[in-house]
Amino acid sequence: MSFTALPNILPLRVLIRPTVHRWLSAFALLLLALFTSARPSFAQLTIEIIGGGQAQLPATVLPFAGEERFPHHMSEIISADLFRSGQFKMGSPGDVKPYPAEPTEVKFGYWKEKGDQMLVIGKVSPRPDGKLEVRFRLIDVVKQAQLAGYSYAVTVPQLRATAHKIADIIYEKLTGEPGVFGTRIAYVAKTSERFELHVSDADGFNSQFILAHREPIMSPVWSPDGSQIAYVSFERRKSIVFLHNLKDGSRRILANFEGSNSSPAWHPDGKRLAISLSRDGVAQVYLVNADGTGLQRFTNSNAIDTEPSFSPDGKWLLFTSDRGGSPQIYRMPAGGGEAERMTFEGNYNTTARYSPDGKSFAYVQRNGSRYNVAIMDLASKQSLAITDNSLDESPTFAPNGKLILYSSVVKNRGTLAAVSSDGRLKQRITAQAPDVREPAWGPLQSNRQ
Amino acid sequence: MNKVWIGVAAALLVSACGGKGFLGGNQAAVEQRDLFEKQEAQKKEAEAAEQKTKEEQIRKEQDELKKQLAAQQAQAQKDTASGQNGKGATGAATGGATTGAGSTDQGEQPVVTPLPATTLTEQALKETMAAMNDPSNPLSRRSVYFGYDSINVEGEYSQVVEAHAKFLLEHPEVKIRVEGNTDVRGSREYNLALGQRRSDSVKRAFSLLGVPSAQIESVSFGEEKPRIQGDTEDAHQENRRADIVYSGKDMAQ
Repeated sequence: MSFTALPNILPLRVLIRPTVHRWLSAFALLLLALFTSARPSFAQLTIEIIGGGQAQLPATVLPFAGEERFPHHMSEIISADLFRSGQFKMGSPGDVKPYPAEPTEVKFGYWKEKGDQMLVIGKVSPRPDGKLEVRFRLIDVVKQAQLAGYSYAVTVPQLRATAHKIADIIYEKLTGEPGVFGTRIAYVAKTSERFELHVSDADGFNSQFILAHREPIMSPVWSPDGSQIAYVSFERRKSIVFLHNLKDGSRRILANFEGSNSSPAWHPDGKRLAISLSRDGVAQVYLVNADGTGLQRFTNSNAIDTEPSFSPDGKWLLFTSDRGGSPQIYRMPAGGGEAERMTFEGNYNTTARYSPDGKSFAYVQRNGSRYNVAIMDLASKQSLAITDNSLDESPTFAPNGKLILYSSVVKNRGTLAAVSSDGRLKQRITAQAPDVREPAWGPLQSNRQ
Repeated sequence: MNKVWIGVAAALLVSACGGKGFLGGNQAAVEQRDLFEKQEAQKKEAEAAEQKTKEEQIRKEQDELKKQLAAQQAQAQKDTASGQNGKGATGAATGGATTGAGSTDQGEQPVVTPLPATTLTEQALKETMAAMNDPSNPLSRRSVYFGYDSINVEGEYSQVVEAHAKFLLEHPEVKIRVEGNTDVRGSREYNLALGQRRSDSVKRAFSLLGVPSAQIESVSFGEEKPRIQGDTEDAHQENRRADIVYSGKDMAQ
């Protein structure tokens, strides 16, 4: 896919950023799965939004000229992405046909009167080389200014990815935060006969399994560049850590020592991982190079130490340990040093995951017989429960930190759910697979094809 | 590695299918599913047939087994007397001898008897397995249960371990796996580590009874393979468990 910026042929104005309070803008961004107008035959996941509806930005995506000739309707995908983020109030296209495809065709008076403030227009047309040209512009109706405009040369199968890319640009222009519509997720699905490791677009489309086996698969995590997934597979009837290359499907063993090999976590440099091994007795955290060399013990306790998570700057590791008698979250400098206990409320706190900005971490806390996802702010050490089902687990941050995907057990069935990082906006996600668990959100991929 | 772990009873067939079916595409998935369904159907037939013959033969086999074991013991005494080592399983035999010496009571005159290094034939092992499923055989109990968040082998389960320890000491060529499990609540990774502590705890109990560690592999499935589904206390109790799974390196397939 190649793209070029479209010249701004409207009077240039200052980029508008909504003056939304940081916390307010946080409960945005709901991802995953498809919107009702999308084609359910492709759907792996569907979502239901609970709560939300605060301080939404108005936006109207008009049908792109020529899009109806292709299986993926650009304007519908873009509209669905923005809607699901919870940040936008989507306007209807109205009845002025043909819809404007170029800025010169926009009748500003009409849109102003209709109450639209942000307009997205575009066009899909064949190129001489057999590819398609997709053009779009984001227009501020009130100021009569173009906020963004690009042209892409793509193939038909790339249309959906292009639509997500356009939605990401619009999201970033209007909220000031990177969009995550073009990212991917991984999750484990369990059918009656086997386990499958799936990778899909963040909206649930294009789901494919990259591994299937009758023995369990667990703990998938994306490499920082999105090219590999590390996971634990029991295909040899014991837990072994594998690295799986998503480009060519090749796999190699990262750790296969005596006892359990598990809990891979990537260092942000992508060259090292932390893992948990029981080779020297009880499970301890080790560091290892991605090529399997340089194994080095990181924790030294006579208790279970597992579930490592690197801080985004690579300087710290959070992990779960029951060295104090019950599982709790601890933090240690990545270069070694004293372990500091982070959680004190309750007798079961596990599965810490650093937020992308490194200022907080998500974890799972037990409260009575319930297990819920909570967030702890590292500066204040204040903790907030953000989910309220009975068995919530495996929190994973969207790469822009706005949303947390997790799994929840409903009627003995694992489902995925998402919650804004302030807990205000929740989405339930229904998968077609009977049992879905352990979601892992992939990184931002600026040059994804 | 040609070594194929053989679980007792159903695990025997399960492991025969293990390691197959790693496919990456959707087309491949369909093919695999077809293959899988065929295998499942065949497996069910085989299981039904096996169950019948098993019931009929259990008594017969037990008698035969007793004879075989007696014969092996006699052979072992001969080997010991003539200073010979049997074929194969040399490592296990050496280990058995060492541990045997180490576990002797202090006050007694140490009697160091190298354990028979004979290898159970495939047939003999099959018969042993069949005998193990007889409820009157103490070896028919192959699960050790644990309290919540506990890793201690206690009470009646010590006796379960003792019965298997006796068998393993008599058969140093036999290897077992101890598979640790947990209930489905809480962190999957923490539970994997907890299941490993449980299987290691059972392994340690075997070691204290003199069974060489080379005869035992301890692994964990954490909460990934619950025997009983559901969020009930009965299910949780059943799932907090370590299973003793027999294997034989001389078993084909």
